[in-house]
Amino acid sequence: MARRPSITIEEAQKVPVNLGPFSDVTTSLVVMFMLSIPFLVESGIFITRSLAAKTPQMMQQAKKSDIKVNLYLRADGTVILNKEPVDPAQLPDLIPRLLARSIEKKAILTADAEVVYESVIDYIDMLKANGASDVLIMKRKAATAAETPEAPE
Amino acid sequence: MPMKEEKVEGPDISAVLFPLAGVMILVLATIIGNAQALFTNTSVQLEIPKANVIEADLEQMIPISIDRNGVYYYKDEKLNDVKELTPKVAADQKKYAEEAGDPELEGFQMVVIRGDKSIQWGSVLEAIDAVKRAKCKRVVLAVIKKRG
Repeated sequence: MARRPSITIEEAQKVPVNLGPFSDVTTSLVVMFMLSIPFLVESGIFITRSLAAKTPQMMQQAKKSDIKVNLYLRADGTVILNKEPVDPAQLPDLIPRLLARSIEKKAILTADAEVVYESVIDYIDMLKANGASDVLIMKRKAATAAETPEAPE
Repeated sequence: MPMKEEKVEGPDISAVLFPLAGVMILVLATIIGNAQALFTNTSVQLEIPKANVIEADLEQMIPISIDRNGVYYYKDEKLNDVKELTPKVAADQKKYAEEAGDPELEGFQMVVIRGDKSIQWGSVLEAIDAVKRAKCKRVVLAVIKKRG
């Protein structure tokens, strides 16, 4: 078998380097990075008009308004929609129909403190995706049943 | 007698381009690796929940982070108690209005609550309450856009 002739360092330095593939890879990396920016960078969901920290009085006010969606997430995983337990899978069908009856299209979301944050975000996302203009975050007082008017009777 | 032209060798272009290319790749890798920290004004690393609906681009905001152990961070500063948030946020909002030269803008700087997806909702509610006590009018929960 013929042995490849060895070349000196000086000769190797004179060999023209093809930078084409390198520039292709770099360009692809930059393009991929630019395309993935929306999935890397954090964005946000507004909860500006939240009613957090308010209790029965604000609940009563909310009742008088045209809010037709009142969602309560319990720590045990039960989902209560307008005082009725519902299957979470049915919500994407029910929410748009309820919101259609509302002028302001606001929804109230209440959750027990023990509920996992990701799950609450999923429900806020679902409400907004189904047409809720605002999701009002309510805080429940863990104290008495009298202070939890949305709880199932 | 004609003078023999002396050939002057220029610098080898590949010898210049190779280190440059290496540096470019390193810079690119650093930017990609730190993209999140660059855009969020904080270095607290969290697993942010994902959502389809995106309403706010986070610019010039005050980041409040809650890690998976329920520890609160104001920007990069670790807090011992959630109650420490209120005076800090209020001071920043005042500074924001002063810099803008309009006192009516106090409370309008966006506050972003960045919670790890595994924490309890109660921790986030406490942060919302603390921020609301500082009379913030623009509060946002940080999410990352879902793929697909």
